[in-house]
Amino acid sequence: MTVDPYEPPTGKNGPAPLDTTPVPDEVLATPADGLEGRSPTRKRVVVLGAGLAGLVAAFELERQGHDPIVLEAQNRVGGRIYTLRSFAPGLYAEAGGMRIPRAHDLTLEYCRLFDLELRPFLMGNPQGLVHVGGVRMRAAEADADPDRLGFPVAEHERGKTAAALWEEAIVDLRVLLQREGPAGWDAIVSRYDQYSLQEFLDLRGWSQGAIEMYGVMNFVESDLHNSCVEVLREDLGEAYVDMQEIAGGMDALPNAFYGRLQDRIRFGAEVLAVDQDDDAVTVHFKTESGRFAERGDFAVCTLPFSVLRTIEILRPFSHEKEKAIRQLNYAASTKVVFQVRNRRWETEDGILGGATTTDLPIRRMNYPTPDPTTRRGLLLASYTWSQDALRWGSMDEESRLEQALDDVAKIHPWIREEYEVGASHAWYSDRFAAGAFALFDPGQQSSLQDAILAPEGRVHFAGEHCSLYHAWIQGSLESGIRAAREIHEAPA
Amino acid sequence: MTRDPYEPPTGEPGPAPLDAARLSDEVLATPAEGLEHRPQTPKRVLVLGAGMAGLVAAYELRREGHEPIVLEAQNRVGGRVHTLRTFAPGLYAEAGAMRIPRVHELTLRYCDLFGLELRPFVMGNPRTLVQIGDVRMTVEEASREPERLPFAYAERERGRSWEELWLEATEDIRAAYDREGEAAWSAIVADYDRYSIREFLQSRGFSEGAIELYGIMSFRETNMNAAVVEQLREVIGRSFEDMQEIVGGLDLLPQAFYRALAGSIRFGADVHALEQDAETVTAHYRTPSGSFSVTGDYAVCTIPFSVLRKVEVSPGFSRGKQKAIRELFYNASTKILFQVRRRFWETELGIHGGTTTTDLPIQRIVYPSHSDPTDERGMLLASYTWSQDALRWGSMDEESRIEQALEDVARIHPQIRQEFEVGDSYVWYDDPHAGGAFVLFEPEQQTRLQADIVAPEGRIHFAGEHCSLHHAWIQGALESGIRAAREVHEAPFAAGSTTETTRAR
Repeated sequence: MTVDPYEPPTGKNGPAPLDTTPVPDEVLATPADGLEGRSPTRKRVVVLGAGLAGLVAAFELERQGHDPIVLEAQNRVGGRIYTLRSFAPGLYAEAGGMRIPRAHDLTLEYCRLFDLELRPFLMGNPQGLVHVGGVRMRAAEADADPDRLGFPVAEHERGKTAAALWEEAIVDLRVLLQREGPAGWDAIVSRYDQYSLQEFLDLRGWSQGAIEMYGVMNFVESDLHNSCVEVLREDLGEAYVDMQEIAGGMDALPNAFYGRLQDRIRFGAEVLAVDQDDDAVTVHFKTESGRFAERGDFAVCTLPFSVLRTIEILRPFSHEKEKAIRQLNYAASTKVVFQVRNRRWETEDGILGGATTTDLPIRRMNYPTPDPTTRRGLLLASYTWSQDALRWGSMDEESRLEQALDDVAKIHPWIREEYEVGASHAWYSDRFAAGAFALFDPGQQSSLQDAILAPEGRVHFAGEHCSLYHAWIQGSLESGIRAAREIHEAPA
Repeated sequence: MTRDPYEPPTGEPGPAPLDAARLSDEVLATPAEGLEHRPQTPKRVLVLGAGMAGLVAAYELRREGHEPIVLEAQNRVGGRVHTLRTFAPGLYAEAGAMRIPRVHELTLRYCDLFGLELRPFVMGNPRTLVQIGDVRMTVEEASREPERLPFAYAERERGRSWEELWLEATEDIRAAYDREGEAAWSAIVADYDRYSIREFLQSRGFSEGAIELYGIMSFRETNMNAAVVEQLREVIGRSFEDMQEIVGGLDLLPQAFYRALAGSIRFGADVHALEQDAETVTAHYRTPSGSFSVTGDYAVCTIPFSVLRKVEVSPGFSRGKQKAIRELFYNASTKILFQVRRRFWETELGIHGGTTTTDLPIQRIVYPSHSDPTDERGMLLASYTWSQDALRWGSMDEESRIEQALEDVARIHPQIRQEFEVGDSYVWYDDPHAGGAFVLFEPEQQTRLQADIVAPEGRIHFAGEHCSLHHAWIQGALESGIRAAREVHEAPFAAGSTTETTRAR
């Protein structure tokens, strides 16, 4: 799924995209060329999970003549790419990943390979609304006069937007990366990995009011105590610049992989235990008809660590891996979606795509790309993270929709008339995800990352949590290719 | 609810208990003497929530002749003091709070006031187990030979228990407290509020291995990013020494308050909006039979901020209060309980009370401190988790939760499969009326938020564990409830609320 802790309210494009941890050319060439050709010792590979990491690993292994079998607990592919289609004909909404930044070249390469049509995903829209402290204004007005938002900022911060303050706070890091390239990241991580976002901003001399403003306007108020390196990586990596979406729904990407892998996927197979000896891996799973086992030369495990924690590992993983599985922090995310009869945000409020920012429990609304063929539409009525998301998750669906309606009605009073049906997805409560995405606590990159990635005997690991692109499709793909290559290159 | 980030496994009592955030004599005298008498026209006070804070506020206000009206969304009193009685006749288990430390004098005085019988709650027990990876030993062995626990210690840490390491790390803070008493706290908070537990341990030279050991043994591995002052306050305040439980179940305490207040409580009343003007406060609430409102001179709001976040407030609270409501961090807690046919841990292992510690998802097993000798059956707290671990148990359905916990317990006690009868569980984060288990400050939250958390807003006063510095403890609910009651009691009277409860629209 995608996250946007830094969403420039004006929608201005930054400088040319430069990704923070560029994917090596070799990896970037994978969609077109596949893994490097090698002697064709055919390996049987059990892939755990048919999210994007599992799909790309199976796809690339099969291209090289290997024999992957994918075990998927649910009856769909894509994992946290999940397009909801339980609405009026033709309407759909994204419960999970919803956008691809221009900088995520590997993701875009696979879209190209499968011939998927992309179109812009509108981020900032000056016509979007800001509703903070009971005051309502346009994003353009909040930008022009941020003091109207009423945050108790210090004198020297007056008149500056959260975006402008943030840009000042990281300009030296931007310069460092321009000068030293990706090598600059080592310095940034070793200097700042121990800092939470709150501490980083304290260090830069921000007032409490400015930190609050930044938290509210960038939707990270409940994430201020996570590692600042996560946010730095995204912003310095242009993760929110020039976003794209897949026309017809993001699930077109996993479905395209599925088209090539159909017979290799076993749905409804919930993994219970993983065993291995010196020659093989055995994965025990259950279906509604009983218990089974699948044996392979290797395995690619893409299960989130939050889920893997409850799976029995018969030949224990290393102490360090066990520790990483226990400790890695997962963020929550909840989305609430409304189907409306008339898209009155377009006709009455003149909002064509983009977002509205609030300090209400819903935090933000996202408006879809306008569709001239129908007046009906879907509104992302709430998109929350962390504690905010957990609270929505703890309600039942009915109260969740009712409460979101109350909040949205404070901004768009016509919503009650136009509302038809609603849906929601709380990723922390989804037992096959058990969280939305990995989000480092301070210090976790330094203390856990090596152990997160390391293979354990014949079991290799992939998924967004096994990359540094947490929460992004790019992380799943990059790590899936890495795991596939490790196995491809391993002695038989 | 109670928690024990620092549980001395050997059960040795420390030096004389001394509370870290000691209550004034005036507050401590409240159970016996009530609030200070001051003749006045009785005030009508809306009390939102019949947890311990709401109950004590209503109780003390009533004692002074005021007219409290308690609105409670559920059909029980006690809030996060919640004794489950869905088991075989005579058996019960605590879903929430389960123990009262000796230093929580205010809590003990209310128990005394109501004539409740107490008995020891066993904390450390040398016969309980520690199972980390494939290493299994008794707590006694783990204290004697800590190097057998499989952690990557630094050389200087080898052979030292996690308690020794912690004591050494906090030696200067402890000394300052011993020297200066309560006055030391402002300096401690000023110096350490910025530190997470992890940062604090790092600053004291703990190796990664020792931090891991500390996290697992203190059940804090997924709370290492919380403010260390929470931990210091509890440990220096001796919150985990000489624990007591109420004979018959902890819910006897809220029920005792209930008997004195029965006519003042409205059950099934879910508050959805609060309004106030210069003279009155009105609470709007829903029951299954419709929407109602009630007006009073003042209100005591004990709703957790996580739940209050969804209540419509007009006119809006101050920006500072709103920020505190949005940002205050709530921890999660989940308990899984097994009813067993035979208490095999007593008959076969000689374990009477105490805790087994493990790195499995269940984290810890707590054995009952007392059991009925005439009944072979018993209750086992099969898992008690916090934070991310608790949330993950929460995301499973009840059936998978019990099944998964059985698998974990079976790795420690294979007998469980034969002896297990029924299971139950409680996930505080998923309880819509709790919205989390208890407040746990993130670094800097005490400094940044506490004043706003506690401040009244016009005629609305605030209480609950989140409005105290005894987070997670009954003591915090009681202390803040008394404070709010006193604020209202001492406030000037304003004639306003003559209206009765009215049916809205």
